[in-house]
Amino acid sequence: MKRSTVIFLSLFIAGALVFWAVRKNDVQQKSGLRFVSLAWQERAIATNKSIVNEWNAAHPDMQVEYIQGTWDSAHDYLVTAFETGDVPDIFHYESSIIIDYAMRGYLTDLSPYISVEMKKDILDVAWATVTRPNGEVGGVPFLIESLVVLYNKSLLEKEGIVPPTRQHPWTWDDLRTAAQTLTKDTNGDGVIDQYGAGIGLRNSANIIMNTSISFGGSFFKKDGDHFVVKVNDEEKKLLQTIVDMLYKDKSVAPASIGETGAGMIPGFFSGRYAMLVGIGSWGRQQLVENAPKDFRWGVMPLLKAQTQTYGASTQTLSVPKKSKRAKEAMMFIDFILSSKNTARLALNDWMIPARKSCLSMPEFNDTLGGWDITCSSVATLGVGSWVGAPGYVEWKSRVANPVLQELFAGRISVEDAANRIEHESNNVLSRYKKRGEVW
Amino acid sequence: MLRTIKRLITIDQAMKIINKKNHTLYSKKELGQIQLLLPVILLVTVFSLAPLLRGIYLGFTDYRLGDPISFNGIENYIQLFNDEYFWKSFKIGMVWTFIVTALQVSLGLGLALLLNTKIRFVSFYTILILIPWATPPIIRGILWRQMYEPNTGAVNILLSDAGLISAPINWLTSFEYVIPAVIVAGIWGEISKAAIFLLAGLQTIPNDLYEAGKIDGAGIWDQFWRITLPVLKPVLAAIVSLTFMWNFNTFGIIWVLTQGGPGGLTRLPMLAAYEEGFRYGYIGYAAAIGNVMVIILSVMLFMYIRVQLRERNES
Repeated sequence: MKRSTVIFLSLFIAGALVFWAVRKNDVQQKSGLRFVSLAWQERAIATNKSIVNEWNAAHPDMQVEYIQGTWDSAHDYLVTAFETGDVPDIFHYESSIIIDYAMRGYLTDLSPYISVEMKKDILDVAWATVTRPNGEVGGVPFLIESLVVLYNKSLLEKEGIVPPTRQHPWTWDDLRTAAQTLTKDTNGDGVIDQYGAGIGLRNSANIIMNTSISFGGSFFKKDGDHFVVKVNDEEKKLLQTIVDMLYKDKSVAPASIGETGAGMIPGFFSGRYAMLVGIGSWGRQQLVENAPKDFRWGVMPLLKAQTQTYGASTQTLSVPKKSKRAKEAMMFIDFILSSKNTARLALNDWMIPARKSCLSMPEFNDTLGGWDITCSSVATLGVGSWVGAPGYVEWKSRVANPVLQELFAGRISVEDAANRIEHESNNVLSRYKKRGEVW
Repeated sequence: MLRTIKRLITIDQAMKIINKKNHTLYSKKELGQIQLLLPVILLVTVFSLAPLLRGIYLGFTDYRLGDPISFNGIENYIQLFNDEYFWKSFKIGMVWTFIVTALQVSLGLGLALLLNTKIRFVSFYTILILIPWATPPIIRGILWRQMYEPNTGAVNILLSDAGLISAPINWLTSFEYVIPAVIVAGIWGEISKAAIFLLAGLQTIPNDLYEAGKIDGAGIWDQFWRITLPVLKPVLAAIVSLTFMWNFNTFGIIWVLTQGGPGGLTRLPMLAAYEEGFRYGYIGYAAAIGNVMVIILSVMLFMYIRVQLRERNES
């Protein structure tokens, strides 16, 4: 073979490969809208799929492909997708992260596409979790993440403890007293086998941040154009309460320290703790589906500190900037997040719907499954000062979660934790300040 | 890493052939050689060399995902020098690397010595100990994560059945137990590698040496210290260096087991680089960490090659 032939052949093969890859991508892009869902509870997945099927039946010329994602790998997947341009047209994620994506220019601003009906019907507090100060909207919020306290009815009755009602919520002191009463050595072998409470504290920054608002705390304080993190008495009070329950009262199960909320559920079934504090409202689905038959449980209203105001975060649907069919994608979002479908998604994921019209439906005011109490927390939802703060996502995983892990493992005091959070926050936030990223 | 270096060496050889007589036209034979090498050069350039060079270049930029790339000289390295997170993870990485390497090689040596004796079914055992090594690190991680699961994991069930613990231990999130726990998981899969290499080394030792030793009255320990170890030294040096580099670059198994937690206690340097790059989007800075690690590893590689050469010259 001649030299030129060899060169020509290799170039031809390389070119053909590239062409094939691009072409394949193109065909995929043309065949339909791609929708990545992070639903993980069985019934939530089924609901998502059946809504997609309904859309596909009605829109033969604009099919939607359902793609199953996972919360663990969503971030890596999406960032890779944004960078390569091989993006899904619609994806499901959560407010604190998509607002960071919006800041980095990865998302289509949905504000021009949102219908008046949708704009009006979705709660303002939910919109606030996805809107940048310039009015840019990073996604449509449809589910509200809320923290609930679940309790084991039988164990509370046995101790004569009357659970709180919406009119008379418990304070943290009430919770502490009850937890102490419920902490027992039931078989008399000298080892405590029933604790008052369990709290999934593995990655507790979310719980702590959203709960701190009810203590009057906020962690992130405005300093001109920028943010500084301060851990004042209000923030410390919440941390101290949990530490005291763990180590002074010994009324919180030690298993809480390294466990996630979902990981605490089996112990709740077996009665190792009478109350499950600060778990997402979705946890109720696990109770409905997996609890032993005779297991009786209830939902408590949000615990009251100074107020009953908790920080809101939402689950969202967004459209990447690199998607070539933002308009069509938004049509699908209009469909899947219509009032009727939002209600279906919320019911089957056991979460609070973000639409007012849903909240007035009877299903969400039922005492069965604790829907009435869960949804009543909407009235006192607030928006954390950190929402959309440049660097918040990095701060949470680099500073807050590790320091809180050390605090709750009993390795450092609340005072140490506060100092470390403040000190380490400066390092993280200064990176963003240097880049001129402002809220 | 090693593969990249090997490929670089191939390129180096190729370049030598190309440049040998660069003042005259290539001879016909040389042109033929170039043609034969062309497909390889093309592939290596596209898939190894270009990404490698780009990675090195990115280490000198402030590239953050979503932003344009701009050159910022040695700013990343100044930042790295003052980065307490990185140095903390570097320290953890060193502790991990030394302990795991020492245990892998010494246990591997023990295993190799056992396999080298005249026990029955040796080939069966050899296959058995190869299985963990043949398992990808991610799968090993998942296996161990299930073993360490606080309520249903085998480790806690065995220990509590034996009456050694009263309450379940959450191995992977406890500050006291996480390091031993990941070290056990980490050495488990890699002992076989050391064992197989060392077994090959052991089998090259001629029996005459031992017989001569026995005649001179050497006991089992004397034989080990004065015959086995000295003869095995070059193989040991090689396996120690390789294992060291390997362990320094550990990522998969730790990522699956702890994701660097609790409190960053198991955040090895590779995890730190990964977090910078993919979690926080600081690709430029992550590439700078990569560059620094390549330099550190190159120093180790240099030392390893020097030891190798010296051994060869002596013998």
